Amino acid sequence: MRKVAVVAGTQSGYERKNRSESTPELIYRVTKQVLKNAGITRDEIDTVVVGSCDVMDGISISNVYAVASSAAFLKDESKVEEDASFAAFYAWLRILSGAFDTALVVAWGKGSETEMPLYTGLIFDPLYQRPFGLEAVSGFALQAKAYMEKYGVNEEDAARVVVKNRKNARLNPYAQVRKECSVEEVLASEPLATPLKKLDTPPISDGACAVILAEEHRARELCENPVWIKGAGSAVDSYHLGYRDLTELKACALAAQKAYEMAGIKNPKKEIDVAEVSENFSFQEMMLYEALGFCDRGRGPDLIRKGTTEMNGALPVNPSGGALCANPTPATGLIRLAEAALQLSGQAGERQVKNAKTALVYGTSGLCFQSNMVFVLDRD
Amino acid sequence: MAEDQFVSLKGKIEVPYEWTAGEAPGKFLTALRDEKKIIGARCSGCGKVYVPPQESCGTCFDAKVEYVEVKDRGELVSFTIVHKPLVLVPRPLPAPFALALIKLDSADTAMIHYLGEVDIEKIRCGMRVQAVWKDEREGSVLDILYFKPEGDVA
Repeated sequence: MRKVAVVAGTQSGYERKNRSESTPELIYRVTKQVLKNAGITRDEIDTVVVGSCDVMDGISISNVYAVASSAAFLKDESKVEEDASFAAFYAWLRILSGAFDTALVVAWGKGSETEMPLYTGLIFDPLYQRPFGLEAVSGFALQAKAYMEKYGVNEEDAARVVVKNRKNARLNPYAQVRKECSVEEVLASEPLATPLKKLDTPPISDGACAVILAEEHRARELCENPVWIKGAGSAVDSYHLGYRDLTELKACALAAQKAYEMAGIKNPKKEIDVAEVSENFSFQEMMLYEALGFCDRGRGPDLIRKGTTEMNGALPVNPSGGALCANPTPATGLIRLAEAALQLSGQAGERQVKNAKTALVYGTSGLCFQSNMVFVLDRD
Repeated sequence: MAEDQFVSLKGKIEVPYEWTAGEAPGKFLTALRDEKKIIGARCSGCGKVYVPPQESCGTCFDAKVEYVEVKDRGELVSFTIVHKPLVLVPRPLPAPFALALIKLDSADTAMIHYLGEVDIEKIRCGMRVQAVWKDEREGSVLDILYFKPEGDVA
């Protein structure tokens, strides 16, 4: 099988409301920058895969609007209409097929240009679920409550996740939320849907991210220290929230198992040096620790209480600050990939995890981790 | 950028839809409307009863589903007290209100519904609840007004 590397990445920086650039201009900025970072021209890109969302953009097949800005003009181009970690997955498969040697993946989201709860509410089907006004916050709240109930997790544990991620985000110049907070501030923040309070939830963000993937020969030409995709796996769970055991994240665990098998990871807790995960909400990061095999079932809160997943812990999770500090849906999962690649290439600046050699990337689409994408990255 | 430069265009998209109910939601919604009954889909392969019903079993796939009646009472799997509703719905409730995942007796999955006639401080997972039906029903999940704590156990 071909080896594929992440050879370059870039991010726009994230903000609540970007009214100085149109969506194509935002895409153009990151696309130009990622080509510059890779040291190649548009002509050297064989295929473009974008991650974008028609409902958010307010345009059907909205990738066609961005053909010029995403460097795709007269090239092979396609998109995924879900989290952009899947766009990276498709780009990787395209290179593995042998049909292409280089791929540009670009994803964007301007949450400020629409009303995000209306968008996340539309994930629910019109006949059975939509009449109740569920959207991301109340949906994930049902999951958080089930998790608390099953394992005796408390709101302080969840607040510690927010405290950790915000502390990390202070060192990430791209992050949107760069203000530290205390456990008490999280607990005292506005109640939205119990047990979730304002500070347990991600911000609404505008921003874009781009990465370039290349097969081994090209990667070594372009990059002194390529970051290799060692394994990848994805799996999707039942659509209806009530059809799943929401505490289990079965499909996430399956996706991780596939990625670990491919990458030869036997003990993720020991072998993963850093993880960038789309946690979305505070409680949910602890659930991911369990599904990704960082700890046993129900022990996610231990990792946050003991500081295991802090920057200086044994397994730092979200040195970037994660989705709780910038969430330009559907680019969020691609940001995780770009951040993990920065970590392994030693270019993560102040948020660098020392000697990181193996990284985990997790992206997700749908409600309560329905669709799951896991990558394992490493370096020579 | 000039101070008076054009910045943004405000707009709104209104698109009408007519969603076909098909067999499974069709049977479910008809039974709510006409019989005050809740219908599930039982997989003939694994025996799992899906409520609300869908046309197939994700696990067994090839096995047919048959439609079976389940009780209109069951227990709370999870719930959330919504303090800040973020989406407009056909029948808005004054906040705070409770949304729940309810596993009806003899169902293997849970369905979403409101809770009512309940002190929101006293809602607990595992709590027994029963459906409160609307008088004028139209073939909607809202033909059940909400679920309330179980009283007279049938």
